Amino acid sequence: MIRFNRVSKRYQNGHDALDNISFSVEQGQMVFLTGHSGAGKSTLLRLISLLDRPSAGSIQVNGTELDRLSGREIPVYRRSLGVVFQEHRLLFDRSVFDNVALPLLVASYSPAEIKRRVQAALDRVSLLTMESLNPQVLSGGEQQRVGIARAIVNTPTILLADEPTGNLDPKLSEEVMGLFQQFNQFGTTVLVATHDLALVEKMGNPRLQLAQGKLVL
Amino acid sequence: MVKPSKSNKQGASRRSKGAVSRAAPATKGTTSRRSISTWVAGIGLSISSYFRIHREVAKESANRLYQTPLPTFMTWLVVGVSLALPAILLCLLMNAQNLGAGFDQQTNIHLYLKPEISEGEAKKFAEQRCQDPRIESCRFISSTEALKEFSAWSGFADVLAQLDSNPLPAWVDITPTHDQLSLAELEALVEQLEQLEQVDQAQLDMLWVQRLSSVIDLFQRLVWALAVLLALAVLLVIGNTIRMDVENRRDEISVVKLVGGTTAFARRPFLYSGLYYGFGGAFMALIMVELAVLWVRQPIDQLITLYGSHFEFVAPGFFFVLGLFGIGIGLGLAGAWLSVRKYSFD
Repeated sequence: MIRFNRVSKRYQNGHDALDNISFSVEQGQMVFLTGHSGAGKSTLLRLISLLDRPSAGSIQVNGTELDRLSGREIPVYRRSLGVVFQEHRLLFDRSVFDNVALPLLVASYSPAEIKRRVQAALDRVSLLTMESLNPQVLSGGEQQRVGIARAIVNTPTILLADEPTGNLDPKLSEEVMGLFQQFNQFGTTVLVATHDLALVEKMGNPRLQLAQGKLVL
Repeated sequence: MVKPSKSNKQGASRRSKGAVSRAAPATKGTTSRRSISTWVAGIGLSISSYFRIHREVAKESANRLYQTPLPTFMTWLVVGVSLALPAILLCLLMNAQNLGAGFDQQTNIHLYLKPEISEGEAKKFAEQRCQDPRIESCRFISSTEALKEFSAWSGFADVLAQLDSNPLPAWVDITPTHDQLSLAELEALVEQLEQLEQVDQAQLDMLWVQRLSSVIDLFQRLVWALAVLLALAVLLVIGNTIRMDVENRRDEISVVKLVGGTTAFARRPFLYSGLYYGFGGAFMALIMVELAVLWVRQPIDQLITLYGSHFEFVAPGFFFVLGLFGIGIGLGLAGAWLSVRKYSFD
């Protein structure tokens, strides 16, 4: 569950990225966040993953008031989220397996548990056979699926995706969205920021539309 | 349904908490409260996983250095030279101090007697001196004996044989009771002896020891100043190397933070790198010190033999090596810490 209450974000240069936003996404929902680039989609996701703090208002995630979290509690909070990026943000100095294992490694899972979970996650994105490869040799679509496996390996309660299909052709985009839908059916709350309106229409999920930092829908 | 709302939904909140525990059974990653028993059960697990994590990070950091052998070796060399230079000087200094201390105990007073005093008188004079409680023993050396001794160890026997008369005075070699006398008391004794009418000159054979000790003192200060400067250099070299390393791995750091890694987790590999740089540097320094000792050992031993001294050159021992590694590792960690501290890792 994600709840925004009168949230504003003003950057240091005076730009209002978000302006008095209130909404809530219920547990188990899959919601699209749409709007032109610069409308504030990324800012909104950054606020949820605590990469930024709001200038005003409060955000509640899974019953936790985010502004009450101290610096020490942030890492533990972030482990309840899975985040997928347009540019994947994979590490090319290690294998696909090790990339996906990272969220488990930082949470000190045992090696056996890490192996089991990473293989399960890779299996769900159909990349199990590529676990020992370097992500550099994979195609764009495969890299994105590695990024998704990394986001879900920790069984997060909330999955955030920032333009996950931005670099993919329509067929691959549909595949990736299909994956998100699958996770949603397992009970994960999913929030996907995208400007691919055609795809959003086709999927028929609820949407939040941002325009110049304001919620318009 | 998504609804723009300002109302507080208690029901939704409770529902979602139930769903959280179902979706994240691994107990990791939720901010919800856990019972005390879960914490206690977790402690044993976290101690073993703490060591496992450290082992893994230590291995990974070592692997990283191994993969860039040349830069790693260069850093080790730089650190090694910076540590070896003060270490070698310190080693020499310690030996010089031993040398000074050794002679300190053997300082004798030489009483050179006036030439008009006969040998019989002189012997009696020497015996009388021995009654002083401040004097341990006296040895009378007649001018003939003095000449014999001098020609024996000076190598000028032939020249001395040419002389018509013996230029050397008779003298008394006085060994004071060193244990009970301070330097000031010793000097007072010398002054008193010099006042005696039979004595031409009294010489405390101490001046050169004092000179040596003040030279050593000065040298010691210089070595320490140099050591501090070079320690600073090690700190900067390692700090800078780690800083570049951090810069190169910014992506990794931000991903680690994003997936819930703590700041400590993100910093750990860099601290291990610093530790390895310090350890490797200390090892290089040890090799350099040993080579230097090997290099100077023979000429020093020769010099000592020439002076007929029992002084023995002491090579760096266990605690010296331990100290070297301690300082190397300490500086490595401190340098790494300085560079990772500057980054917020957020």
